[in-house]
Amino acid sequence: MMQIPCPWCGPREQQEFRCGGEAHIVRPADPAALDDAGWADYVFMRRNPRGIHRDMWNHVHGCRRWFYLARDTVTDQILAVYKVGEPPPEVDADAPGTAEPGR
Amino acid sequence: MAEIDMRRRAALPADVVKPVACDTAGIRLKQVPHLGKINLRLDAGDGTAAQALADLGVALPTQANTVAGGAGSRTLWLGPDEWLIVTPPGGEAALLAQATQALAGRHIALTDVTDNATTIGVAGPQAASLLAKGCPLDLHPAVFGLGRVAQSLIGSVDMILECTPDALTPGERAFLLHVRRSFARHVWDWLVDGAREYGLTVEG
Ligand SMILES: [Zn+2]
Repeated sequence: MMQIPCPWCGPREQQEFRCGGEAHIVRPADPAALDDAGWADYVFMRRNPRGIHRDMWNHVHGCRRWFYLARDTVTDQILAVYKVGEPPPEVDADAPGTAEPGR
Repeated sequence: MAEIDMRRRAALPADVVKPVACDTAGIRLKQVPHLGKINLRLDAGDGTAAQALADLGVALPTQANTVAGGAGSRTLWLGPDEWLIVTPPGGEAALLAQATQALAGRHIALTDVTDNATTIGVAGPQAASLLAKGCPLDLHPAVFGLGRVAQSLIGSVDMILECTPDALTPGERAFLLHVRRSFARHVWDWLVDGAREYGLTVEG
């Protein structure tokens, strides 16, 4: 079980949260001009990196707010936590994280 | 205090909350029905709104996971722009009307959620141990002491957990679980089952 630091409530167990998938997917500026391949890419195609991934999370059993995590998919170490609207911080997979995975 | 509508029924009927006495009880359970509850959404940065509420005796805690007491009501922090105002039974209607008037014209929401949830009191020396069987919060007194509140899970049920002074044992902690009415029977049975090893008193 991981501990996830909610930007509002502080560190809580993972079971209080739900992952919302890849973050920072931008809605097409001109949807009417998009072809099928463009829609498929926007709706279905997601990154699946070995390393740093930025997720959306919802503190669904807590304050019910959405926020972002930068997480290493190999170690589950959380490298950065930030609120919606804040600029995504640079992260370095080798740097010590902001929160240890609470195993 | 306002008159309580006697047609209103407690979530847990009397045949479920049957008084049980135990001389060596580690757990004391009770139902606390019909507490008034008002959900408040408000921009926490709006100091004049906080002052308008303070004038009504409603405190507005801005520190996460804390409770602030006002005259006749207390306010639970739920999120960065969300609170739950808890009043004595029957007190919600008058306060809702006053607060709605005091905050008129602002971008806010005040909602009477009194009948959304009921409240179960868990006290006794083993109270935290009982909750820890099904709650992922850190319940150590240094982390979750008096005046703390958190939204979390008990078993698999959403709850708002509040740490309050134990009425019987000065200096000790007790807990209030605010759970949805329709889940109250399940949570009650779960607590009674979990309390068996500690000895249980049910306060009728
Ligand atoms: Zn939260």
